[in-house]
Amino acid sequence: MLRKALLPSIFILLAYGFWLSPDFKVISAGVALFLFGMLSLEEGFRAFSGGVLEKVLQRSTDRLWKSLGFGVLTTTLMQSSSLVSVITISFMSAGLLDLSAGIGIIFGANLGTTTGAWLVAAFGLKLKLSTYAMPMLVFGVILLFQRSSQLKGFGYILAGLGFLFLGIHYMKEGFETFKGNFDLAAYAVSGYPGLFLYAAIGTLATVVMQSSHATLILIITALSSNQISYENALALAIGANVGTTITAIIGAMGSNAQGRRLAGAHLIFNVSTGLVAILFITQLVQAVDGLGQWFGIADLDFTLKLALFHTLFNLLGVVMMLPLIQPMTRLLVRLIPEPQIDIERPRYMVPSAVQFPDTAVEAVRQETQRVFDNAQELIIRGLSMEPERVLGDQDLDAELTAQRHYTPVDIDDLYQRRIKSLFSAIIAFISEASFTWKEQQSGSLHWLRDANSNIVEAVKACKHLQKNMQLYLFSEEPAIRREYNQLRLQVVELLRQLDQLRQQPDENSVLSLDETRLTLLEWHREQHLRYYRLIRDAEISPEMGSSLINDAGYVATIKQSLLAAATTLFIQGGRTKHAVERDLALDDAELNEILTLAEQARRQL
Amino acid sequence: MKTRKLIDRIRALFDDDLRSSQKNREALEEVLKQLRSKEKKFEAELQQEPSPERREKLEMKIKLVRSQRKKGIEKLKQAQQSAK
Repeated sequence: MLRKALLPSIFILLAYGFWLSPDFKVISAGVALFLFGMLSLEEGFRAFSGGVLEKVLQRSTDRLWKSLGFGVLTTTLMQSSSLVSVITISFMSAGLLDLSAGIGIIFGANLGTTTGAWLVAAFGLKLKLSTYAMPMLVFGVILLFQRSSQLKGFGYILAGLGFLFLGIHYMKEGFETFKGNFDLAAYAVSGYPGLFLYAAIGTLATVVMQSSHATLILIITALSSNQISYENALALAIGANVGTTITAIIGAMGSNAQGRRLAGAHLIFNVSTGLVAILFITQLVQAVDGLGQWFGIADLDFTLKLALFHTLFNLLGVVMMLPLIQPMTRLLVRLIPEPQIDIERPRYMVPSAVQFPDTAVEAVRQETQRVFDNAQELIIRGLSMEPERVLGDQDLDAELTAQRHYTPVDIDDLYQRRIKSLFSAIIAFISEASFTWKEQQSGSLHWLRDANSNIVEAVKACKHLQKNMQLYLFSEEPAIRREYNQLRLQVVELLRQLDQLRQQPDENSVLSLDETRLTLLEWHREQHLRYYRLIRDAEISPEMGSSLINDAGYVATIKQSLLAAATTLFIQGGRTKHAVERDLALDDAELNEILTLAEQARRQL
Repeated sequence: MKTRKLIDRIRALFDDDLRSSQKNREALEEVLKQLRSKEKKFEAELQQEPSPERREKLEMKIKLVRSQRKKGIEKLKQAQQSAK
């Protein structure tokens, strides 16, 4: 109800304001242009986020100082702490970053965002920004019409900067004329009540605009035309810092526990820094005056002093909170616990993961690995074995022979609860995610979708296999018992092999798996001949023989499907190389040709 | 770097399709190189191997790598032709 009424109320208030004051209209248009510029800038950086941004993020956050530096640098470059925090949240949701690295980035982003105030205070108010804005907009828009995604990205960045400059220009113009008609400075409130009041206004303005940058530029332009007092401007800047956490909080709403913890850390950091800044405002102002003199800032240049204050109190916050990262991490983990591990529900595919191509692919990969893990366990139990024994170092042959009874499991039930639910969620996520992406990521999603289908195929084949296993695995006839044990052995040996492959993803290639596929085809061919021989020698009945022939087919399906899934899941390396290797991998007909040639050579000998 | 290669790289900077086909060709060349050294390794092992059973397995592996290489060389030829 409240949410429904909010937008019309804002519209009515703004329209009334526009009618009342043309200057207010100019200032608001400036804010709107500024925000549009930020959106365009974000879009531009997104064009480069099909890998580069994410890879840099991944590599440069393994140490706290690195993640802190990364936060400062990227926010300085992008001039948007919101974009950095949203990317960080989506990376954490996809499981690519841990909480302390995420907190480091957020702290750094808080510091990095203060560079914006310096740029505007130092250059923005002295230069006629609209002169620069016009060519930027023209060049930017021309670039937007280009085919290359890189050029398009540059176009968005250029147009974004143009809109930012134009926005600042209009805000400045608006305040200049506003000054002649109306004196906001008359509403200045001094002392602590004023500090808290203006801090609250700053918070509210940032929550509404969802950009501390925009609020800060508004404060600087208002301050430069003496519309607000210096003291109140400081309080507004503190409030803007608190209000900026709203973007991270909104971003974390669609995220998992990790993302929410990060938003929590962001809130704790900004609120406590704000409180400390308000409490020690006199000391901070003195420090700004002292440092200002040292930097050569004129006594009455309040805009540059505000920029210095903004940097100083964020720096103070970082210094104050840095030693508390570990206790804060522990507190947040306790306050926002991971939901009870529910094997049927997706853990990584959260709405925030769908925003960036690489995080979405990674989330689907992680979920598919869970589907594989569940299927692996289901297949092992379906063959009446224990996963920990199969994947350990026990002698599998001896293990199977020593087994005395069959433990049945309900494969259908396990499939519905632990595989199908995840598989369906993956399909839904992929169909939501893949519409506008670059070919590379769509290609990766295509292979991951295939990997899921392969896993399901393997599970279904295991279900068919189970019936006869139950019947013959502990039969009185030693020959049939041995053959079914051999069938089980084939599957579990492959699972053990794949588990080893998973431990060393870099040492293997897609092409090396062709060797395993060749051995599988050879085994399948030999099995048929072997079963016919057993029937001929009356070691097994023809009924048993036909069951074995069918079940060897199911075993071949399980192995082939698991191998195909493992090719996507457990072999790493560059995307292009992976695709090339897939192209060169031999199909069944080509592998069969090698086998036939080998057989002919054997016969000639 | 040769001038032609340098010009190709600069052209590829602003052409998505060209860049992706160049990357593809480079990856293909790298994979073929790896396959060649794998083949040589298996051939050397075969020369030293006395056991007939293991020799048979090694021969099979060599045949497999050769088929993969053959496929790769054909793909590389196609890629080079379409780049001209």
